[in-house]
Amino acid sequence: MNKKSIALISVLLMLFAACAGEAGPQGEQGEQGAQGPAGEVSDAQVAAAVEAALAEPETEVGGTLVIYSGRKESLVADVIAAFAAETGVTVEVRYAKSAALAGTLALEGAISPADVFLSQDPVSLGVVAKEGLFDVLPEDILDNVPAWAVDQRGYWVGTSGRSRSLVIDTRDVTESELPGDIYGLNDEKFRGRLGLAPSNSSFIAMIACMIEQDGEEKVAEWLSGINSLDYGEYPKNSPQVAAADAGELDIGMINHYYTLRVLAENGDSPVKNVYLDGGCGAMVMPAGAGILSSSQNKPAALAFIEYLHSTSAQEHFTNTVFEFPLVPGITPNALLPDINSLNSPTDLNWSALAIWQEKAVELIAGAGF
Amino acid sequence: MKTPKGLLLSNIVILTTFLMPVFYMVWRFFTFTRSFESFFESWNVYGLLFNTISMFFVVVFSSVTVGLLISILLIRFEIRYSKILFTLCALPLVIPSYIGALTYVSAFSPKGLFVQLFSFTGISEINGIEGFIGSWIALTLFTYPYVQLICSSALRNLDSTVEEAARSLGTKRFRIYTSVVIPRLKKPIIYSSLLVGLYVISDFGAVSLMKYSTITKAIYTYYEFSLLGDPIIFYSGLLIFLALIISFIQRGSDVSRAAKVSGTPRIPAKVELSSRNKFFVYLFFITVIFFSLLLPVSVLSYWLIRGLSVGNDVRAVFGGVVGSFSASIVTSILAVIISMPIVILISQYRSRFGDVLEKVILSLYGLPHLAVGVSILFITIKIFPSIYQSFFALVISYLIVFLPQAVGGGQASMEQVKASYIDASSSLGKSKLETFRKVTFPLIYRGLFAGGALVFLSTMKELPQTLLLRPTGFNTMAVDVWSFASEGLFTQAAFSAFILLAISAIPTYILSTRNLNR
Repeated sequence: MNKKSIALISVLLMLFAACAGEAGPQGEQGEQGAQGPAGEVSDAQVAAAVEAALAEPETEVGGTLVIYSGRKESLVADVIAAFAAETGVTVEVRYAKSAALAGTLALEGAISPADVFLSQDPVSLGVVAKEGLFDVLPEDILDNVPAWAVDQRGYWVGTSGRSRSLVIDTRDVTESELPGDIYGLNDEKFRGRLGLAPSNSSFIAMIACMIEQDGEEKVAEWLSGINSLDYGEYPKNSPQVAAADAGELDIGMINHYYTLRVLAENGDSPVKNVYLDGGCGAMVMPAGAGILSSSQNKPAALAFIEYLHSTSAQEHFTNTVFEFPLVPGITPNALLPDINSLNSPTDLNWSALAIWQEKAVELIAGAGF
Repeated sequence: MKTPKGLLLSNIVILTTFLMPVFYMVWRFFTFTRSFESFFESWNVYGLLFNTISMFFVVVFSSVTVGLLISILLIRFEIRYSKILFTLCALPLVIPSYIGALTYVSAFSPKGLFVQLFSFTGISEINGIEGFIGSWIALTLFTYPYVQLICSSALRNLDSTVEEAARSLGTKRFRIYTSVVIPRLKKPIIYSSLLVGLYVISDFGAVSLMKYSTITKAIYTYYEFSLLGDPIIFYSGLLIFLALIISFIQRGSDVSRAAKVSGTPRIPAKVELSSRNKFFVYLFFITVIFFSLLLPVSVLSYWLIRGLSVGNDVRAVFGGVVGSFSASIVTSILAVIISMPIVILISQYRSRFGDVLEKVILSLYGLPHLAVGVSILFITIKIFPSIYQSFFALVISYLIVFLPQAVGGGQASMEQVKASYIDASSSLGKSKLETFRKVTFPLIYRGLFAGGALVFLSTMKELPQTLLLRPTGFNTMAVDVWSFASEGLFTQAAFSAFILLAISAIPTYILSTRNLNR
């Protein structure tokens, strides 16, 4: 159903509602319309109108939506295009790293052209929340996903889950030589074998988590230890998996799904994910989204976040991106481990991690990365 | 002649607008909430400064060595195909450092193209070229042509009587060069060294791809890390300060007349080489051309052909092509228009203000693009939010760094417009406008066009400012190269790079050699 007909029907529905003399809350307009006098329109039209109104409570969605996406174009472009096609909203997307966009939003403040911030990690979302730039989301959107994947104050909501993991080249690494937690990687036996992406937002999130859980000193020591081990520096996570696949890298610190993408394309690839036994190296975190208070098009922004929770978007995240779906009832892709088998710290408070973000960056830079 | 008020005013407006990034940085430096010492304590500043400055010295040294050697060999010695060799050696000038570095990184990655090609010899893995060595190689290969062009034109104009006197006194040929020729080329050497040095400290693409931590890389890392506060301003300001020092030395001193050496040019008879020396000389040229030109171009061609044969989507780069063209066209036209009042003031009205204006405008050329981009980013957010992330702001930012090229083009052609022509025209009762239309414009439009074309080509290749300031959804070929490369998608990156080079290489070469030789 295109934008024009939705608009037309919603105008009709409002007329009906006005005739009935009971202007109810938006979401119920459809039903009221159906109960109202239907003399001038056919039953089929009414049925279609009801369906449309129920599926799209925000019937006047339209205009332009500006999304700042910290998620890569290759991961989310399809979902965004489908949303645009279904709603008729014109979508403009600015792709960059989540942390860079969070910083940009903080700098822009009220003049930000962005309506929605879509981030690959909770810490970048927390930075924007900390600046007081997000609107509180409606309860029903927050209730779509488990409580661990939601900002405690309701400023943003998770859209998919991902776990930190190590990618290993099984030709050169045996699982038994790997440590139980991330601190064990600071070991001479890993000299020249480690890879990481120091400016990757999820890596920064992990460091923030480590500061929160283990204290600044221990993290600084670990970072400078890793820095002295002849590590390989990568701009992002995916090149680490590619390097491991090509035999150039033994162990990379990544998010789990890049490896699964490679394995889905080539089942014989020697790369493998190893999930650590505990600590921040095993952190499971949500990618998520929030609506900027300065947004000029909040209905479309809200519709977009709801769309990210729709079955088709959630199935895209799990079957194409290989993330954990967050909406109950969606079957996770078969390549994914059981999310309950992962040993993420359970006492994480996302807004507390955001406070450590700047410290995390300072420690990473200070260690010489 | 007294400078007309309107002209003076428009120049003051242009100058203030264009110096805004510098003013903004200065203002921020005075309003830091933390002490200067705290930057030096917490942010590895010394390390980055050390890395930046050591890169400056090694690249200047190697570029001068290579560039000077090429000039001397081709101009003073009997070498076959010297014209072609000269052109081939100078061509790497057109390869943006980020594309050059990209080809090196991808070809010499531990299991990259090089290893695949030579796998029959038993090589299975190499230490990739990166870091200090990688940046050194990449920056040298794409900057020595500046030295070559400047020094060879000086060498051509050098009066050779001293050389011949030394030779007649029995001085060994090597000594003639070390004690006679090179000392007399001191000015062009210093001039071109500083040009190369400016390039080195401002370079962002090569050091980032090579993962070598310089100030520019730190600025971009902080941007990506979301620390858009004092540190990024501090580093950008530091970089602008360094660049201004270098370009004031370069433009401000009499070194600027460097390329012109006094005396009547007398070109001595070219010296024959012994066959053994000939072998080494040709080997030298083959090596230089191979590494600076053949290798990057073949790597790009290889990726292009491979990409096409496996059916890579060509449409993906189309948006970038359109973006590059639209930005470049608008910027170059505006640059020509804005440069007019400056050129007229500088060349038609001798005044103290004009002299200062000339120096300042020319030193804008040396401003590091990344730092200017950061400054414009802050200015548009904090002071002019209505143009934030607009095409207009991006174009302004391009204009700030590329305007000097348009001014240069205009200035050169303005020299042909003698004051007497104007006087003659006005004594014949023609109005100022008519004089401009009938006398001045026909004389200068070629120069203006050349300046505009140079701006067009520079804009097309610009990377860091575009990354920071582009409107949402706006892409250029340079941005495509960069973002594909940072995802490790070298094939697609090389694809965009190839198109960029194919479109811009030849005109860039013709125009920039013209400009540098002047």
